[in-house]
Amino acid sequence: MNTFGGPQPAPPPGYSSNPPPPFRPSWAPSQPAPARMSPGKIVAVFVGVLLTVALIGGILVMLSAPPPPVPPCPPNQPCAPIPSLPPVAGGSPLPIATPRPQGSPGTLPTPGAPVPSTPTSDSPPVVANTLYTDSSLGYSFEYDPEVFDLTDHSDGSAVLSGQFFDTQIWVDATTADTSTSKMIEDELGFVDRFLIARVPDTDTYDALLGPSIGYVAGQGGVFSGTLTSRDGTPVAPGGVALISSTDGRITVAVVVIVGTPDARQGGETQEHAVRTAADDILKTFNWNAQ
Amino acid sequence: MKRARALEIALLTLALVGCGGAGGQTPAVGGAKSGPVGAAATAGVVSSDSDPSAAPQVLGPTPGDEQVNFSISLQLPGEAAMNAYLAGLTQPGSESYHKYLSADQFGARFGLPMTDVQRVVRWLAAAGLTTTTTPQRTSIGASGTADQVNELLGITLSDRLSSTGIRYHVPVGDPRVPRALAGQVATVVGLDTEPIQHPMSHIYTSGVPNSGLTPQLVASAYEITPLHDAGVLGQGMDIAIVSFDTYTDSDLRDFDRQMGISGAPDVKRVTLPGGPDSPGDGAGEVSLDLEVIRGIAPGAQITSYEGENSAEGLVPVIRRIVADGKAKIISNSWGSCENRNSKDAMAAEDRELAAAFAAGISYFSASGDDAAYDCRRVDISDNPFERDITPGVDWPAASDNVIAVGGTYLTVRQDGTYYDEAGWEEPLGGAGSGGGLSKYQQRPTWQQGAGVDNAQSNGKRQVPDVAGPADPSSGFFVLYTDPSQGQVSGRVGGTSAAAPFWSASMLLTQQYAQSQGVAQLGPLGPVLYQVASQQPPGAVFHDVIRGGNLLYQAGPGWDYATGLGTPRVTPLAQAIVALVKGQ
Repeated sequence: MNTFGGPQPAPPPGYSSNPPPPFRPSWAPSQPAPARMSPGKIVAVFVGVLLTVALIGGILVMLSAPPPPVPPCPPNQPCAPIPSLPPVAGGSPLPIATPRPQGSPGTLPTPGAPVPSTPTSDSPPVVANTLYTDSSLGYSFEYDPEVFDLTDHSDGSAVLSGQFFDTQIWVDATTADTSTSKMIEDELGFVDRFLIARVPDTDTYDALLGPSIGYVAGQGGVFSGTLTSRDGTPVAPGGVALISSTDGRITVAVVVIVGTPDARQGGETQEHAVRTAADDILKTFNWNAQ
Repeated sequence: MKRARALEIALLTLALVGCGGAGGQTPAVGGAKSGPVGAAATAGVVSSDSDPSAAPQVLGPTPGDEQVNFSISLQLPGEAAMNAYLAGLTQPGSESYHKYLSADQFGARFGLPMTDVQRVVRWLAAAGLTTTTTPQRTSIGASGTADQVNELLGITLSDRLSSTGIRYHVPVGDPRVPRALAGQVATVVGLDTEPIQHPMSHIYTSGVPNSGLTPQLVASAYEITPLHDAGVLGQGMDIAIVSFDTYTDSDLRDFDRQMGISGAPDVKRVTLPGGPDSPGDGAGEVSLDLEVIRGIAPGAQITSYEGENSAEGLVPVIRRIVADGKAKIISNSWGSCENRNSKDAMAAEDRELAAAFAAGISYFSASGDDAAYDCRRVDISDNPFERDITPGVDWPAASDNVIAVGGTYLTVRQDGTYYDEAGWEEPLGGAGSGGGLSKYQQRPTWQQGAGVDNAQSNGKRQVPDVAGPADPSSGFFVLYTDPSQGQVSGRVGGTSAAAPFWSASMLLTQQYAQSQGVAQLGPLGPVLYQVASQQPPGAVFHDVIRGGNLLYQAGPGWDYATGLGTPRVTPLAQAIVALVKGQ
């Protein structure tokens, strides 16, 4: 049985499906003035009046100026509403050029007319999440700050920790004279400091089917073992997935470590929930961010 | 840095200890998996939380008085002629070019004589069953009690309980049909009601950092705005969605209000026998379909055809849509791994799809969300961690009567215009755009063009045909009522979103065509390939050349992750209408 369409997990703590709070008025109500004022207060009032006059003047200047251009779709916010429709009576077709309440109707495109090229724009792409840039090696990626915290970073390395899962993600990079195989070997060396009895995870459910980073194909593997505490005491099952890729300039590894990987999160295991969240890092990985 | 990492890991494990209620010096918590992992090692996990992959429980015979619905798929004596006719339907110069057939005409031309249909009806009626016939004569719907059905077909219907708590029945034994009716009855379908049709949607209900693709943003990114500005909003056009669940009416009203849509027609609901009577786990899927279409074509009349979720559940749904004869666009975001369907069932469904194709209907179907490994979610043993990870495609996307819609990861600019797209793939999570080679269906003659003939081609149907935004990270804003959580909103992705995106975009194209004197565009699959061949790269499709689907890479021309690419809707509409008018 597939797990699509199954009950979704309850939102983790800190998540909210509520709409943002309503906008507050720009102006706060003024405080009531006292009956008598000291000289200092008189000066303050004078300054206040001066500022008020300046503000009113500024507003008048702004009102007389042409409005600034409003982007049709502000990033990260709902766009302006689409035009309203006239009521459709009885399902009968309306004339194509039915006037709409908002704006003026455009003209119908001409079939077979020369196809315009893709609209050009200098507008930068939307960055929906938090952008992490490593200037030393010139790469970047995005991570969701509502899911992961950046808990450590240095040149060529970043550590993200999950807010709702026992997980860490390592993003490491070095120059391309380190092969992907060597990178994986090195990463597993660090993993083995905290994960004992590490063995390849041969479950087909957990398999990496097409390892890549930033759409550059690489190699990877999945492992399972037991996480230990600082003194080496085994404490919980652990799962590890890692991928390494190179573009010929740098070699990158992404390592995902999950505690209690087979615990359920809705229709998926915790390991898969974390891996899916970590995919955002891979999808937004920019090999040439300089 | 590595030292700092060591500290972080230590904190991680301490956190685990805290969660588990054990002290720092406590011995190992639970048993680690030891490879290869068997059921014993994972049994604790499975039993601690209901696992949808667990084997179903056998409940015993289906109560004798329980109402059971199924279909008799009929022989099409004119099948060879039908195939030739369908091939010519979109071939200029062919005798059948653009001569679409109503359900009546299809039945009269390729179906059984009415006397033969009536023989089957009489056989069913004699057993006390009620029947539903439609003019296309592709199948007959039948309903009766379990006792009546058992006796008629010589089977025993047996109830099962899935691990998700859904009761369904399966036939024990092969259905028996009188030898005298062998020339009329092709197969009996619908007796197995295991709900295997799954929605192809990934839902992020909350906690997403942005609001997702709103109607205005979609219109801007994919150049739908010029059609909207010209008043092409879907008025007077009909579109059908295939549903195996239902929706909460107020959700669409709330969506309209939040998106500033007013005056849109109410959605019509057609509930088929065995269909849902209240929103269930698939409610989000139905709302996704409705709201994506509503945002792109707010003037269109949407009808949700809601059937019983079962292996052959498509048969009665498509039969009804074709018989109703209104919609020329069907959007389907449900499906299942091709391997999971019997050849008989797929043949029965393909007969219905053929009648839709002959009627000039464009049927857009999601290609699946498991990348090139569509059967990955199918359990193949009692061990839920053992899965089928051989390449596979989804059904009905693999049918050559269908336009299969794959998925992309979209990036837009801050001014709302298109920036970039990649084939949707999630290397760690395993999701991605469904695509690959069918195991059973032949590649249709119209599937031609740059990139179609490639190193993997083997003569079988290649999926998908086109693509649309599907990665949940660039998903659509959707609002729906979850039966357990109440109303939620957020970004929703999956090829479930891409299919209605294409359906609604092509509905606008049909409306635009009508305004230009083209009464009907017909099934658009062949047309899209013709247009792609005639236009320079990038002119009407965004040719997606990055990303892939975990097995196949996206690349110039057609590819297994994104097909021909994603649409520049207005230029594509112009090119389609010019092509059809010029033929």
